[in-house]
Amino acid sequence: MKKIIFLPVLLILLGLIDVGTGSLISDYISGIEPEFDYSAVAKVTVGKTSDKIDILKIGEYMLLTVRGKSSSIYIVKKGETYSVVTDQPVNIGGLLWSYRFSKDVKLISKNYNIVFEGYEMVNKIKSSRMTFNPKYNSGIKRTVWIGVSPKIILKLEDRDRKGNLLRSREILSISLNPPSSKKKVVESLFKKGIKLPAREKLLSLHQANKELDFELVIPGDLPLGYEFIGADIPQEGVGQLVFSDGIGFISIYEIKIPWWARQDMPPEKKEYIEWENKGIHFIVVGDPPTDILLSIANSMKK
Amino acid sequence: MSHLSFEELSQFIDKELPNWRMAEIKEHIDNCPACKEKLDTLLLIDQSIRETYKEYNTEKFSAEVLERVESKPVRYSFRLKLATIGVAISLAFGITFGFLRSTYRENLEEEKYKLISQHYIISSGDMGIIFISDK
Repeated sequence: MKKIIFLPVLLILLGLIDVGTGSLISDYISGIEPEFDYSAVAKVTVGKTSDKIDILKIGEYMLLTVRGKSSSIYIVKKGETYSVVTDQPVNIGGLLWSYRFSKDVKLISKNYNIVFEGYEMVNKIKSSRMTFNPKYNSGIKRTVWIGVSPKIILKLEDRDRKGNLLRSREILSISLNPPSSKKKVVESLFKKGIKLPAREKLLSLHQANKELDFELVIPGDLPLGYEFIGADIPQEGVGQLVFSDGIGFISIYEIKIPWWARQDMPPEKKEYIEWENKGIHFIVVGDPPTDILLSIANSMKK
Repeated sequence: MSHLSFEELSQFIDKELPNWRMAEIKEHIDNCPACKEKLDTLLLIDQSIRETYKEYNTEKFSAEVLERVESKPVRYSFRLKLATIGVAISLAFGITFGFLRSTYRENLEEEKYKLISQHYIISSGDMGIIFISDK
């Protein structure tokens, strides 16, 4: 008799847990990219990965052309802040947070256990704190603080399995619908003004191969939880394969080298993995530890 | 009479001695087997030298040498020119190729960092902020 009563209670509890997880994920996704556009003033600090690249000049624009569209990247040194002031309503979440944070609910819930850890104040804004705990070694632990109102991510921390900080990012202050005098800050900081990052859809592998004059090599081995989410052609003659487990990302760049500049080299382990084989220069970069990235590289050598 | 020296025998073969001495030596050789043997050895050496020398008709040899000396500079000069042109082309090609190659690899290095930073910016929002301009 007790078992008969216990079963529905368990089912209800499981249902609540499920609803809870679903609700947390939806809060997270709307925190990445709020449904409403705001005018805003925000100060953001960026994290550890800025240290990895030293060739680029901090505080300057890097120009890239992505499929015919010119894009500007403003490079910020680790720990430094930059201001974003919009002069017209834009989706500030998309502007302040990642260009390509995954919104794939299935993928996230498949690879992460999500825990609500309570409310905390972040820069005087009441925020709910939630943690994404990875189910596999290749995953990263993400903690986000989402403002109750406005519902936007105010702080984010990514750590590896050992607890080392991978990146942190924080909105130091945000004010919605700022006075128009703030427009000048945009002009002085970004010269050309701010455009909303265009979220270009990734290409299918077939489309990418069709646009490139060589066939992209696919890894035979992927870290647990990671899936191919699309391909891109960031520059002419360069193919990119993008993989994600819902939180972490891996990019594999494949660059075709002209015959007179070829130089075969075995996989080299740095902050990323690079090697060259049969006229293609490969770069594997991403969130999992370099040993895991190396196993991806080794699965592509054949 | 004591045994004949090689020098005397050599002079005897070359008929460089006075007649009376030539007669004396001839008589000695006829009666001295050791000197006869020495003489035979010297005659053998002398003969082989003469035969070798015969193969090289001096006039013909001189003419040949002269011809080679006169014709070779022409051939050598042509080959030298070819070689020089070849070396120059190889050098120019090598330098150009090397320059192009090293320039390409340097650019590749820079492009590589751009791609890596693009990954970090696009996938994690770290390092900076990305804007798509109208251009």
